[in-house]
Amino acid sequence: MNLPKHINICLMATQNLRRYKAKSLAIIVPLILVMATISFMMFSRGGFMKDAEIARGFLPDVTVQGIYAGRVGKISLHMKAKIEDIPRVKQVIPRVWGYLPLKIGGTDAAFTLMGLDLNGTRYGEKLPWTVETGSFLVPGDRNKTVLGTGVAVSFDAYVGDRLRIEDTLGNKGEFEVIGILNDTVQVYSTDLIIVSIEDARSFFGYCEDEASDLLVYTDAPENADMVAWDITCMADNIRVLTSRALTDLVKEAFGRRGGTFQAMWLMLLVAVLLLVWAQSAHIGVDVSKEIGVLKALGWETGDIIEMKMIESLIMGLTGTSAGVLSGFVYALMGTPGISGYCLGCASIYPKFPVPVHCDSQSLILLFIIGIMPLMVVSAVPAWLAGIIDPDDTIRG
Amino acid sequence: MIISLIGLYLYNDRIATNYELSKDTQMRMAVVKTLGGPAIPIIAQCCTSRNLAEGIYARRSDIPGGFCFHSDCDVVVTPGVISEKVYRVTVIKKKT
Repeated sequence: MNLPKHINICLMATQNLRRYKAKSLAIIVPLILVMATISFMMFSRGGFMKDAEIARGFLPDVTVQGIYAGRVGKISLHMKAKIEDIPRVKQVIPRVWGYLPLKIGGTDAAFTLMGLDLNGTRYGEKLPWTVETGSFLVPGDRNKTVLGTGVAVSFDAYVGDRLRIEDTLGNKGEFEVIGILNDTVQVYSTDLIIVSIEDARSFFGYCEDEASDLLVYTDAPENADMVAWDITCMADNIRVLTSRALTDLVKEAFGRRGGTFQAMWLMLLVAVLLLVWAQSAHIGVDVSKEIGVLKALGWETGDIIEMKMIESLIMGLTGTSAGVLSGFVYALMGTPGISGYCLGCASIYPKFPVPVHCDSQSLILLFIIGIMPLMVVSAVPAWLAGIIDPDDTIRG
Repeated sequence: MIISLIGLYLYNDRIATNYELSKDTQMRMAVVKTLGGPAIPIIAQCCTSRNLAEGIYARRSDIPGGFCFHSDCDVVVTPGVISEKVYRVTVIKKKT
């Protein structure tokens, strides 16, 4: 292998890219845009996927819902007692929650009133960190609430204020705001009004022995499927979901959203490849003469092809690296400008930090899809340049 | 450029996604554990879907014939039924 020769060809290729700056930039800039688009989409989606994977370890092993007329409805606490009798079941916690559709300054928004069983709830060890101001609910708290940031900002509510929610049917609820969750956990809490299960039950008109769903914890996660099967066999009008099913739902939802972006990105990539083809296939008079001179000086067809391919490789590497870097930074900034599309809603969550995740597989994949198509598209124009007859081009 | 990328990757891993190292992730998981579900308000491409498992039910919401309450949702349009205005929230400010 003649290493100095290849180094010289590389140097010549880089010199060419510098000399024909406009042409090089015409390929690199669109490539940066295309790679930035796919990168921020992959990293944002990767963040949700990664979070879903981690969250699986913190979820109840099984979630049980009541089904009425084919729709999700209330579930009786008699079912709770039955589930508690199943071997391997450690704890069953009822939950009562519902939506609060509201008008905020002409915008329709939906918030969620979440009632937790404060005596049974498995509090996260780091929960105190999540409270920006005030404190979280403790067992025995009644008519008190902790708000997600979205709710607090929308209603300009602070700790110590009272939140009065009333409907036209005469149902009322008044809660003292004792805590507001921080920005970091907005992704799971921005629309939440967290109250005790008794308050939620009274607000939504549930009976004492009713709940929205039941969270089942087993003695070991490996037993989740077995317990889920036992619960499924107990009644017909219930829906049983394991933590794996819930995790898969998150992945499916964001996978679909990612799919839309991938389709858009594919169109952009094709446009860039056509541009590369057009730029490379058109060999100008100057370039033809240069190649003619090089061949007259002893360069072979293979050397010219190698030089042209190295030019494409350098452009691909530069465009892909800059694009991936820009996409990463853009995702870390919260995809300003298009975050509404990325997240599925825009008007009620103006600030919404989302987890961003970048792994080595994603990076390798991005470099492959950024560089390989460019190399393939450049191959024929490189060959066309390589077979230029020096005699014809130099003589004009 | 590659060095910047590695730097950002390490920063992101430490700050946002690695459970052992990231305080942010530990906080998010504390909320998930306490609530009992990864109830992302944007799930199923619709902010009305607090229940992860509802899927199509959430888009139809709880009103017969009604659809999504959220006007910006790109799945379905807001029908503009009277049920949208059922609830009202008032904040009574703390006396200082």
